[in-house]
Amino acid sequence: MPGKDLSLGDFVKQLAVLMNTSGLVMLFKEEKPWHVLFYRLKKDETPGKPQFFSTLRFDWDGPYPKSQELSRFIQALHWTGAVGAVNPSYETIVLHPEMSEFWSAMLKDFPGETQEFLRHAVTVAKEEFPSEAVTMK
Amino acid sequence: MLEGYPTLSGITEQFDRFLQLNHPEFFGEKAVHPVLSLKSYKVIHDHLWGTNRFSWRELVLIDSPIFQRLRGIHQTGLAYYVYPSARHSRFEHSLGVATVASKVFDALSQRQLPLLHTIATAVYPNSDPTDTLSRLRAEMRVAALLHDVGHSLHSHASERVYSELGLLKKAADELTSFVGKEKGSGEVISFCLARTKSVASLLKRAAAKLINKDATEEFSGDIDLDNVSLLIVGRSKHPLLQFLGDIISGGFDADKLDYLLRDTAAAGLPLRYDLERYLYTVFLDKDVLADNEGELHKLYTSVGTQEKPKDARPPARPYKYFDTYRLRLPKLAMSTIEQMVICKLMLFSYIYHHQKVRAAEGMLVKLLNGAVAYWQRSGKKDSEILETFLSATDATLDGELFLRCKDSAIARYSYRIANRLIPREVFRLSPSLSHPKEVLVKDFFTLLEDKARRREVIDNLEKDIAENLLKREKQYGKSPQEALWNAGVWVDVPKVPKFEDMSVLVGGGTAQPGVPISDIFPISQWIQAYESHRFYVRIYAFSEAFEDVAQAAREALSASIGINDESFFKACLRSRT
Repeated sequence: MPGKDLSLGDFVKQLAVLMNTSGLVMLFKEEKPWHVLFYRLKKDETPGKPQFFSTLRFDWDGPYPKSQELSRFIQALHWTGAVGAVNPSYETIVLHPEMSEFWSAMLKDFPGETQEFLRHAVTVAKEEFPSEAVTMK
Repeated sequence: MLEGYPTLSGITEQFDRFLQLNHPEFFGEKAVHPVLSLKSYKVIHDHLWGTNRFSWRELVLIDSPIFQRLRGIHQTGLAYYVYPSARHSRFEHSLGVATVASKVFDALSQRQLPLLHTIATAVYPNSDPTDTLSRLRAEMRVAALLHDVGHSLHSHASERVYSELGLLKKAADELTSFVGKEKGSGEVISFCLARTKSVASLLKRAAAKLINKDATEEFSGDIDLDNVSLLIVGRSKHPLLQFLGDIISGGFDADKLDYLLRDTAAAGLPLRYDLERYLYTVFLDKDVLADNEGELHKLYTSVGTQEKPKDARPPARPYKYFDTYRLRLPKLAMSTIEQMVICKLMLFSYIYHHQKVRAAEGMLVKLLNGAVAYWQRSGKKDSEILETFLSATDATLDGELFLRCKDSAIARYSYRIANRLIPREVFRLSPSLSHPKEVLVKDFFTLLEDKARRREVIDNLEKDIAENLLKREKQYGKSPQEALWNAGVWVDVPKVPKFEDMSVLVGGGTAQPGVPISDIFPISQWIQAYESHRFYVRIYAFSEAFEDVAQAAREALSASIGINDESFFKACLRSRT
């Protein structure tokens, strides 16, 4: 994948790695924060934004914008076993350490500007997702 | 209405020309149908829904060629190669959807009539609300009848092929933007057909032939075909009427209510859900439609609705929005929802994703793709190919376009399909396969679920298999493409069942605030469990090429996934020995 434009899947994988290391809780049953985050990033003017954002489609069929493509990929991350839902109610997902290691090795191959944008995405994600400290309570 | 959407307008106009040329007696300048005077209604019997009334307007559409063609299109494609009794057609399904849609509408009318009157008065202040509701019910039933008129031979198998035509892709993008939610190419055709002048003229002539127009119980005034076409794609002319779009195309729509029972009953599977409970409990709930990009405002303005979006009011309403009413099921209906989810999952597992059904349909898709490429080489434009699909029924496979085609490769595939000489599963891969390097397997599956990567991964894998095959045996052809065709090879990655619309439904209670269904029912867990254990990526090949393809595919998979472990491939191989 390096050397090519990041796809939505590539981006979500790298974001998951960075959210994991930043202590952010990846919500699963409640998808709204994912959609709101990606909608915000689509509107964001920060340099380094991957091309796929320009064509990422959001539906207007409820109280907030929703991307079917994003929704399907997040679901797929779980049923492929790339992430696990260790909690009984499927509230959150956690990235398996081996998967995290495998994907994070790819990060360095992406252009510096893209890596910067990913880090910026994590900063925005902090406003939409709870941190581990909050969920532990 | 379609100003600024040139492809959708162009296709609608093309369909008018097509209908007038091919069915002049119904749609031409000198059309003669309906010939006789029309009774206000007739009765049609159905093995699922019993005895049902269809109005004069509906009967005129049912008796027209665009609807009669559906008799020749099997609802579940080639599933009858595995379930011999699954021979039901899109025709009876469409009649069923109209019947169920009106059951839902009538259930709402019975319990929430004052609210429906309020909505009718708010949308059409100068009309009597009872008349408005009669008209809306009639429009909804016509939308239900016409929702599948865009289907072609063997239903979804051909849809997978014509969806790739550049013209339809562009039209699907326009339709998505027009209605503010993702729509596919199949819906484009039904949407455009429903709003042709041809259909409008047929209905106008029919109205003039109605006997005792003033005495009929059926709505005899004009219906709005703009609204009908929007209902087909899950929208309506006014945000307050969104619930009508939900009845035709939503999470628990009439389409699903019919096909879940019809497909299972026809296949002989003992699966049911409780429709009566659904009807006792279904209700309208106030909600909002966010519209930050102004797509919905543009849509409503284009159909003459004056409603403007309300300004955002953060934090509760962070985006501009319209007030709306949605179709909801309360907590009381939870057992019905469970039954419907199970029915859908089992339909996928037993029928739609059955390995032999996938084999037959995958081969049909290969054949249709081959035929489209052949027509394109012969100079046919997308619009002409679209008309070919719009004329086709399942029987078209036995004719000059396929079985008696001059291109021997196409004729040979058609012969194999006609005689059920379908390919065999060579490899079956599942994300739940255990392996010391399972991280590689999981990443492989995530790539297949990444829309932008999926085609590339499949194409590379197929190319590798073909090249390996050619290295082993020259008899398979001179190019990778020829080898794949001659050995009947493809990598099959089915789409997982969609439940997005179900997950956002509110399942509170009529007197309680709503909550997402997932809060009271483990819908995600069930779906995830299904996908993890019943989802397979398969490699198919003709029986006679099985051994060669098994070797070629093993090498290609090894290169693609990064695993070179004999035990892994042994677990995936579908050999009988």
